[in-house]
Amino acid sequence: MFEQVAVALVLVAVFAGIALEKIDKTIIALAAAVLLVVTRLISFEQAIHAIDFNTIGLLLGMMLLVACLYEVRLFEWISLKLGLATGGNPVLIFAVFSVATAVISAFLDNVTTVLIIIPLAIALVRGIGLDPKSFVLCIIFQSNIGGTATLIGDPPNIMIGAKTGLTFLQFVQYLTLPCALCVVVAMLLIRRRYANVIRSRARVFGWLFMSNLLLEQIRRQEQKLNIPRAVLVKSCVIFGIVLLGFFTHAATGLNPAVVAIGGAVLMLLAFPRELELHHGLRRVEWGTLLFFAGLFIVVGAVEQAGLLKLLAHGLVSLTDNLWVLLLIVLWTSAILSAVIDNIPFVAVMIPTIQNLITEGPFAQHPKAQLLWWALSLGACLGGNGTQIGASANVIGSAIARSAGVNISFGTFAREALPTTFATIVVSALYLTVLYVW
Amino acid sequence: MSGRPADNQALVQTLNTQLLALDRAYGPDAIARDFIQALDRTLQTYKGDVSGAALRAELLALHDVLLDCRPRMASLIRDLQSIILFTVERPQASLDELCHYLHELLVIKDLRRSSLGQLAARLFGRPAALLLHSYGDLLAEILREAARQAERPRVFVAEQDPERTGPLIRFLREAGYEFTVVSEYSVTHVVPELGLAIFSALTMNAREQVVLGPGSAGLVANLHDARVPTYVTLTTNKLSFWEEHTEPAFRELRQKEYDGGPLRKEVFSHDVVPLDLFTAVITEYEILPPPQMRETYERLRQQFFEDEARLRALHASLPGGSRDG
Repeated sequence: MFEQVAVALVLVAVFAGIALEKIDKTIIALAAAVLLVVTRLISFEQAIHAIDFNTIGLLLGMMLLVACLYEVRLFEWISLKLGLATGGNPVLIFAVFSVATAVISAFLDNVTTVLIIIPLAIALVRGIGLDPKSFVLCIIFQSNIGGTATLIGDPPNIMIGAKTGLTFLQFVQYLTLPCALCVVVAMLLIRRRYANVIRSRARVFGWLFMSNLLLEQIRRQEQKLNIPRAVLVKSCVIFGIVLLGFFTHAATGLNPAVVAIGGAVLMLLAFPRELELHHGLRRVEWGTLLFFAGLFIVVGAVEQAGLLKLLAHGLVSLTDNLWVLLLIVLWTSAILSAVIDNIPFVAVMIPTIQNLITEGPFAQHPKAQLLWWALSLGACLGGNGTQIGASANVIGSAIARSAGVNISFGTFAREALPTTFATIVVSALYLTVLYVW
Repeated sequence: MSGRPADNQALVQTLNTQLLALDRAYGPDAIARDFIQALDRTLQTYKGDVSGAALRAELLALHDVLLDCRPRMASLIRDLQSIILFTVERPQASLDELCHYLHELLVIKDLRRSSLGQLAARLFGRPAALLLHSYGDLLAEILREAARQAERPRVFVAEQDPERTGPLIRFLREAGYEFTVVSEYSVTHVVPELGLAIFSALTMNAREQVVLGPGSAGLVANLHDARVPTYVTLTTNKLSFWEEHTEPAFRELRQKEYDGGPLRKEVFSHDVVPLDLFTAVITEYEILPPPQMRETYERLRQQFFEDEARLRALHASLPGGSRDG
């Protein structure tokens, strides 16, 4: 009993510390892990065993791969090409960039995506004489939505995939459709703000001229970027191989972490002059990896103390109906992810759901696996709820601020809450359909 | 562009911001090309009334928007003037013919510049060293042409702050020039070795003063005293015809730190140098000594205001339109 109370207090302290943001979350997680080992609430061997190296390996591999792709500026080139493809048409600018953000986010981390897309999106929207604020927010929302669609798009999915053995294809199979619907919903909500102006501007000579002048500027940016054809071809081929590796990892038996690290190594071998390992390693977020390691130890101690079983029992005591439980997991994940870091929450929820599926009353339920998708949709889409709900929100707002677009906490919330609510409703309907079908 | 006044105001602001951004990033020569190309694409994709009179009204409205931009960009206004006057002089011209005229304007711009590159490269026929101070598109073209003819002079770069000298260094490296960087304040020591100096101008104003990057004035005066042939590149795109552009340099007081203590540093946007201190001005037409440059400037200025007056008369004849220049 004492052990359970002590571990629970440490867990609550970790959550509180992360939420208060007074101390770096990596330090908090590591301090908690050290405290648990020193007080023998978890042994050193158990602590090492608790660290999920599948997750950390996949995160490291993706960070390194994205760093390499970022350095050869492949995605910057793609975004400029997309800008040109819009032909300066305001309607296309909104549609193409919304969809492109979601698609790129599905394969790159959301922060990198907003780093690439937001500056160009601001230039484009300003170029047609509109306030870019709402569109910047739309890009941020789309990046969080797109990240939900694949195993590698968002850290909660990486954690779920690594812990449960769900394949890349299963993520695509179950999450692409609701994410595509959410992309459309977010676009429709943002369209409300701009629709009339966009329609009228496309027909006015002066604004049409402005759009074309903007295109000339993008054309110059693209010429200035001047990526050699060989670099483009090689990086596209390697990225294609990596995607193939993810899609077929269940058949080939290759761990997704191996695929990601393999892709990064291929990039480094293919571009010995353009890429330096040290540059790539500098872009790896070592702090985040250590945060994960510390957090896994804390969750390991929580699990060992039997607290997760208690939590699972608590959930079951609320309802014995799987559909209701799906909705509880979805909405709770969404609400909590909007206000606290979703990573520790998902770290706690994964073993809890595993308990429910393997030992609980839903062990024999044919639709019990839907709980994973409820957790993923809730945790990833919930991140859109507030300005601090996801890293992409914080970084996206900062990039916008540096370009003179100030997005306050209140402004963010005003646009984000309806979008988040609508996307969670879409997810709830989708899960209901899957449950009934 | 017969939109509401608020919408027009937004258009002026947007265009102004866009032109300034383009100017900062790529220079006025690039804007001159982009402007015509954008106009060409607009004419080809515009879904409204494309009859001669309707198009002329739209172009006149765009001309008004350009006049409202600050700073006014004379080259763009001049090009637009000539396009509008084309529609006046050839009222029966089709949209295709108008677009063809725009293409001709672009070709003329390119031809002038490429022939000038060849002409200016002859400057480097002597063995003495060349001093460069600031980067500009035309200067780059001249140096590229000299490199093509395997006439790369030894170069000294008068060093300013990194953001100004950086593009020049990057260019020289790419073009395969051997160069040495000398602090701006130490150039006096290498003056005896110099055979030629080239500066890139920002503009020339109605008082016949050449506007250059900060730090240029002292250098030009030194070079003039030492009788080093000193040229300045200045395409007519950059000429300013209005008196309002002769205000003193923009001055800013920046807070810095030195040895842990606060330091206030004065920063200036540009230097102004009398035209006569230069041996000649390299424009896209030819290399012009000061008296000829003065004539060319006056001729262009006069032409500009004559065209402007014609347009104003045309504007007044349109229903509801009266516009002061």
